[in-house]
Amino acid sequence: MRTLTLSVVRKNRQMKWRVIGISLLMAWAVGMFAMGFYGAEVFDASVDAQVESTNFPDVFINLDDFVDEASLTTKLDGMKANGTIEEYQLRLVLQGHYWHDGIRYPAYIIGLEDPSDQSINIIKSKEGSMEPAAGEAVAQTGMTEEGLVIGSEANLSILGQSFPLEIVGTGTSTEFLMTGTVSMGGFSLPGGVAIVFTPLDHLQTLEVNGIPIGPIVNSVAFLSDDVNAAITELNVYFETLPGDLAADVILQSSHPSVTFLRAGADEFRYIMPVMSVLFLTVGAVAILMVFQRMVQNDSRFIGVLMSMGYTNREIMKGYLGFGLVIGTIAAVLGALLGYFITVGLLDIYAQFFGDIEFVLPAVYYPFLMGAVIAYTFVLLAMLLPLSQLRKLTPREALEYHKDNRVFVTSRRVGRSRLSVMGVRNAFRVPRQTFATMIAIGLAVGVAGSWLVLADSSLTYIEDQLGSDEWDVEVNFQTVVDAGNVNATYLGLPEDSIDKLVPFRAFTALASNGDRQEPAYVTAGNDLESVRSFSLDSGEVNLSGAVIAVTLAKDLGLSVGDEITLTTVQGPIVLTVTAIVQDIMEMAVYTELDNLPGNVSVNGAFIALTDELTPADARELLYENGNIITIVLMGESWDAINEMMEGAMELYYAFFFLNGIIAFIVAAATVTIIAAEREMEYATMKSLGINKREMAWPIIVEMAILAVGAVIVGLPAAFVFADFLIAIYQEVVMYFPVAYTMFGIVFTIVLGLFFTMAAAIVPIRHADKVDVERIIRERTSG
Amino acid sequence: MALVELDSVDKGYYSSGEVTEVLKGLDLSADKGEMLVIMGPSGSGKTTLLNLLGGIDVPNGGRVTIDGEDISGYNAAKLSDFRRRKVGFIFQFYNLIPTLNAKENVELSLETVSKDRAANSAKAKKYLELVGLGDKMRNFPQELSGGEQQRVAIARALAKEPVLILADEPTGNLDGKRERSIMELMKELQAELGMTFFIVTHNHNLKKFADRVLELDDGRLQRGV
Amino acid sequence: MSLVKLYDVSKGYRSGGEVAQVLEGLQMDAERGEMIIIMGPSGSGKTTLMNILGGIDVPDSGMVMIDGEDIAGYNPLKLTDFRRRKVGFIFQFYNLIPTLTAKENVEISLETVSSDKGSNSERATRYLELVGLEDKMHNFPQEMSGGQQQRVAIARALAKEPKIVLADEPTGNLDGAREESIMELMKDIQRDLGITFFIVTHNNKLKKYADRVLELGNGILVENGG
Repeated sequence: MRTLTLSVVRKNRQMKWRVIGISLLMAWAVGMFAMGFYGAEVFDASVDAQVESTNFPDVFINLDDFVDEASLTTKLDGMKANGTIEEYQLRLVLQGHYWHDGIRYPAYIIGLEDPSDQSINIIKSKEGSMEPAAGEAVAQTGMTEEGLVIGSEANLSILGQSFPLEIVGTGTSTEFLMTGTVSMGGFSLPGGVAIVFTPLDHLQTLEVNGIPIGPIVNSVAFLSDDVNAAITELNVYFETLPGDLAADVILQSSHPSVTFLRAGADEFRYIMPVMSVLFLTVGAVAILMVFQRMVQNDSRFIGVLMSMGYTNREIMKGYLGFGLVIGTIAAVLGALLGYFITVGLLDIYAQFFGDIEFVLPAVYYPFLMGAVIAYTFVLLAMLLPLSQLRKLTPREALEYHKDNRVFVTSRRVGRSRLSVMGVRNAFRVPRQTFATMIAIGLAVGVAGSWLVLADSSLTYIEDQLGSDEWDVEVNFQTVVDAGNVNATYLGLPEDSIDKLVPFRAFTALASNGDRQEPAYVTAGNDLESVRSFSLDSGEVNLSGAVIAVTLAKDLGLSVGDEITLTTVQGPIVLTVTAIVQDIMEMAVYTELDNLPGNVSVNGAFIALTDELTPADARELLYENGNIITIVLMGESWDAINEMMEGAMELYYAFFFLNGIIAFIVAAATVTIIAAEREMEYATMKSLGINKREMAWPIIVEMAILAVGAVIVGLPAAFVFADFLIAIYQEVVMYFPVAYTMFGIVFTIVLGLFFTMAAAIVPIRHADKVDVERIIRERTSG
Repeated sequence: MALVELDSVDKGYYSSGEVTEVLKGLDLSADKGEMLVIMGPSGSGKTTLLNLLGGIDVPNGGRVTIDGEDISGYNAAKLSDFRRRKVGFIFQFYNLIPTLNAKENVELSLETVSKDRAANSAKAKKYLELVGLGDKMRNFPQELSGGEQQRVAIARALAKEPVLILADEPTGNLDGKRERSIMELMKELQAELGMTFFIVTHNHNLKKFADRVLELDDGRLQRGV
Repeated sequence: MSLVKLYDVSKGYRSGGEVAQVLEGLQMDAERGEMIIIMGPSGSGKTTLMNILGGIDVPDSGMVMIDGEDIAGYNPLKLTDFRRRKVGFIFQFYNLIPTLTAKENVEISLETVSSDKGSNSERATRYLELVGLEDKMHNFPQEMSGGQQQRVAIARALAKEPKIVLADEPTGNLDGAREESIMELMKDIQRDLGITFFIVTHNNKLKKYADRVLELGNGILVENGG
């Protein structure tokens, strides 16, 4: 290092805490940036690895009714022989219950020919045997706390019929990584679902109501190079079969296990860099301020260097070298932070995502980009302060003679001279004043945006849930004729039911021309009596389709267009009558009568009268063996609230964090102002003006800056929130910006507070001014 | 009785492990209404002496009595109060507050002693007229020449009618003609208002305005004229 | 021929809408190896004259010949280069760089003319020995007394062997004994190395070291003592 750079670096050891603070802030920002892209890469790579290593099927078809195993096997063998499909897996998936310690959990009991099959849909062994015999099962990991461990006898029942299985091994099936996270009532409530794999032929011997189930299956998964051809061929085949086979067709790319992980990748990719840029901006502002002050404080030092014959360019390079030190610390530390935090986060995510094995791909671009962006921001931030050095003459530098011209008007505001000073000081360098207001305002805006975000999502969820009128939602194990779903069938007293809306819920491929997306369809007559819709456009009319905003956007649909829902029984074409805001992003609502074939249902919304509480209703509904899940509005409310609280805490934490950053930006800005005015403070002190009086003009000035900052900050908060929400809509969920009084008032009050708090810096500075030193140094000609 | 009484005052600064004695057992007294010019090379302790007189600094030893108050033991708050009531400063570089106009600069100083706005305004006006700036009261420092700025500074120092005026190279930034007119102004005010002036300078031309010239060298008083 | 020749040099500063004329038609010359002391009250233009001699400021008019170069019309870049090659500065408050050791303070000045680290280091050592600080070379300014700091400043000014050295109140912050030793050091160096010194001061006691004393008053040289 040249002695010149060395002197700058050493010189600023006095500012070491500030420099360390800035370096850490920048490193953190770079870390988040790197983390965003690296985390996304990790998720993508992990999904690919998971899909690859488990021979994850290209297509899953879950039928609503059973088909004969032998004939379907013949069909599939034929397709395999002519190459339409490569491998297939036939499954008998029965929904039932798992009892443990008196609590009932939904259960999937899955019959497979060979649970240890390695050719398709591999169950990754965790512990024990993957080859259960009759009466034995392998359990999906994730329910160990609920007693599903090796050696235990799982207390399972199907349609009220007890069916105990001994657990001989545990493993992870990619297909069921996310099971339980999507429930038809609308919300993700992860965990709490028992999944066991048992030999198919054993499951088929199970007797329900004295009759053995027999050689039937209801689900097929396969690997294929030509997915569309395979589905079409199978659809044609299913049409020839008797029974109501309305089915879910799930493509690999839209399978929850894949989409959740891909969403995780997107979350990293979009949210982290945005946050990073916010932090980088704040860091850059801090750097700007520190260098501004440094260059001013170092005036005499710079003058001495100039007198030695150093050129302005060389001196600028000396400072630039110092900036590069910050940039380098940020880049290196940021890369390390980014890597290790990503790895640390993955441990947490791994629990969420059911023991997925994360792979760390060897990609360097996130870290290189982080480094590039760190240097870019540092250099940009230094541009302004260093540009002052370009034209500085040695005489100016040595003599401290600054341009003392200020912007003043004779207009008098305020009562005392001290107040007048405060007001005029606020505008003495108008360009600087407005720059300051904008800098602090943006910081306040960033802080406020989190508040607006929190407020908007909360308002939205409350709107969505608060207006629904059902109390209990039930899902049936096997489909029931719509006409048969009544109080008697459910086992509830006649007078306890206010409204009852049976529905058919299923996933289908929704398409508009070439564009297709998986959609969650809920079909029920008179749905609008229990579900309220928040209209985005159009008018709710369930004889057509009512679809969610996100789905409409993804498919490019607007009111009046046609949407095609592809089911196993062929396509349903509906006219979009309304686009609504819905927590279920891919929701489609329509009348039951629009479905082809006979109208059977797999669930019902129930609104209760005062005769029965939801909790009592649940006790009665337990008695019905065909009811798989019971969702109480109150409980899902609680669950949602809990979930939202977590999210809100995060947003509020971000708000305060950014508020503190606003404080730092304000403090850094006014520090410079204070340093510039040392002479004035010293003069005032020599006049006998005391500490309290010295503080007054500063408070007045800061109040003006604070008001300016809030004027900038409030609209900025909504603009930033809009921006954040746009990203959230892409990645997490849709909700509109809400302009609530709370958000506005809180942003104003805290914006003022955080900015005003920064007044403490110049007040302390003014108080600590050493009159003796300043007068001696700056007046001895 | 003397207005200013310095009794064997010591003042040193501690830096890098050694003490630099600036004033060594200084004895000095000045009567009310005297104008003293203090001369001496750089580093002889002139500014330090001025700082001690003005309550900007306190001595390490000895007593500084001004107008009956021994300020050598005062704390920061009491010193501030003392400066408010009894001292007016005039600096080489004027040190006006750039965001206040001439009149407001004077009023700012007056507000430290009185909250009566009308009286302050009248007084500020009176003193600005006295220094010959009746027509520039609304001008901001940047709109005034160096000589005019120093006149505002003088009005500011005088307006609250302190017993002691301390001036550090008051003409250091002015040319010969302006130097004379500022010194003559101060001389007139001294005669009219009876304040005690301490003027620190390197400029021998100022000697002729003094009642007494003190020569400081190496922390000691060399001779009184 | 004289090393330094100023002819009809004028310089004024604009402030508050009026021009304060600091130097007016100044004439002056100095021979190689002379020690010249410039005196005069505050505001008489001493610092301005020094700034012009050192290429820190340029006159409004006139000629400033130093070692055969007329620097009066130089642009900032050429002035910088001139300072680099020919001028050494000594300040009242020493102005050492507080974060560099004594030796590094000298080296930073040498680096403006040569990037040969070995020879710079050797030369810094030699000049610090010359000012009697061989045992303090690795001390930081705050670990040295005022007199020692001024010696480092002198070594720094001299090490690159300039044609002229400009000193502004070099003993202004030192007491009597230290003042004498610094002045004697400068006098020795002047004799041994033949460097031309310009010293600005208010202190009459420094006169005895001068080959010539110039008195500045109201922008013109009013007295030429010897």
